Amino acid sequence: MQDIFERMQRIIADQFAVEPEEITEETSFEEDLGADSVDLVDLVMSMEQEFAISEVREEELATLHTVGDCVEFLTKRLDK
Amino acid sequence: MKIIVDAMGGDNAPVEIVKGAVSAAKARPELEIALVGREAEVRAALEQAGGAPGNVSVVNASEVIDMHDNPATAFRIKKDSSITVGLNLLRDGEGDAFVSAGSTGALLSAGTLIVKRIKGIRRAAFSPVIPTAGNGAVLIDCGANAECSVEYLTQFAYIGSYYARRVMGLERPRVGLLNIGSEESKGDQLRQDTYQVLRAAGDAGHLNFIGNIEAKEAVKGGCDVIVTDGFTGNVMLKAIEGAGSFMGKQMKGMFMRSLGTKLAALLVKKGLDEFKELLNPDRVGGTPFLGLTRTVVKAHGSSNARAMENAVYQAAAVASSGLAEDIEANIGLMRLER
Repeated sequence: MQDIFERMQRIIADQFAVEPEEITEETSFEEDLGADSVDLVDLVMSMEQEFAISEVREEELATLHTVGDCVEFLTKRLDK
Repeated sequence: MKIIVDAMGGDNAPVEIVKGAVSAAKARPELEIALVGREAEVRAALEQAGGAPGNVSVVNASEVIDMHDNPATAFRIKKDSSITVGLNLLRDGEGDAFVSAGSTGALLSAGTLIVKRIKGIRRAAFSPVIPTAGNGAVLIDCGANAECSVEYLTQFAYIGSYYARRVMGLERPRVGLLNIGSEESKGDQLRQDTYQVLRAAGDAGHLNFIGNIEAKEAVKGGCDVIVTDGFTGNVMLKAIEGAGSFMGKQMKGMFMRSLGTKLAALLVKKGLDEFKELLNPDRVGGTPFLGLTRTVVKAHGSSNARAMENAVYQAAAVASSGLAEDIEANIGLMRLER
């Protein structure tokens, strides 16, 4: 879980040009990072590549609002 | 130079799109054109256009992204759509530019995420050249990014300036920040903060920043690059289109009023035609999507053959301009300290 969070921190810091330590599980993509719909698709594409998971479906994407949502989603996916 | 054309995008696809692409291929035999779309429909359209010249090829793509698809994710769901297939070809080096009259939102998303932004560029921008009393001006952004930061606007200023230099041939493009007044203190915090950054860039000799500019002054030819957020830029663009249409109709009504005015119209017909042509969006063909690693041009949704032909020429001009190299070489100037 910690490893997933740290890897997500790196991805998000790179994409949104923020410092990794500014990112917590509560960080909201839209409210805190100003992400738009293209940013969110960009993020899940990076997640797919980083964690070598199959494509995130549109309805799954719609549930990812915070960093914590992504960590939880990835934990479940990687457990399968 | 190979231009990849989305044969299925737009209200008049594929017939008008294919017809325009064929005209471009005949007029510029040095260009290669790949038409991407449902092969049977594209080949039927080619027949209607008088057959395919030797420099035109067809790439099959069985799906079409339409207005009902989610623009942000359509390219991932419709993997065999003309936009997705065309942009994948562009990314893989199978062409030099991509032109589409299809969904703007889908092209924005797919262009950004398949072709990718130039490293360090925060946002790509739609950047049409609008008619002005001068030689036209680059309006950047005109709709891709409704909300912007100081860094986005700063990057737009540089990208627009390089475009004006490389594609429009201007030696020292005058860059103006669109605002509600020319004084330094005018506008919201975003405009005031951006002003300071652009002024510093101007003082350092990186840009020819002329300060804030009001919309009316920009249209009068007051600058060559109009820097603004996508929301304001889109409002400005539509206002110009509406004003042009309104003026054209009023003038027509005025000249058709009596026999005398009709005769007068004949005397100034050449000038009237030139004026009409100046405001005709088909003349330019499309809007480049700047900031990406490769050239992507959005033709307007109602593109006819002439508009598509000109969009192909525009794509070729941008692709051969060295613009992306300029941006890459100067990316350090466009990054703001956090």
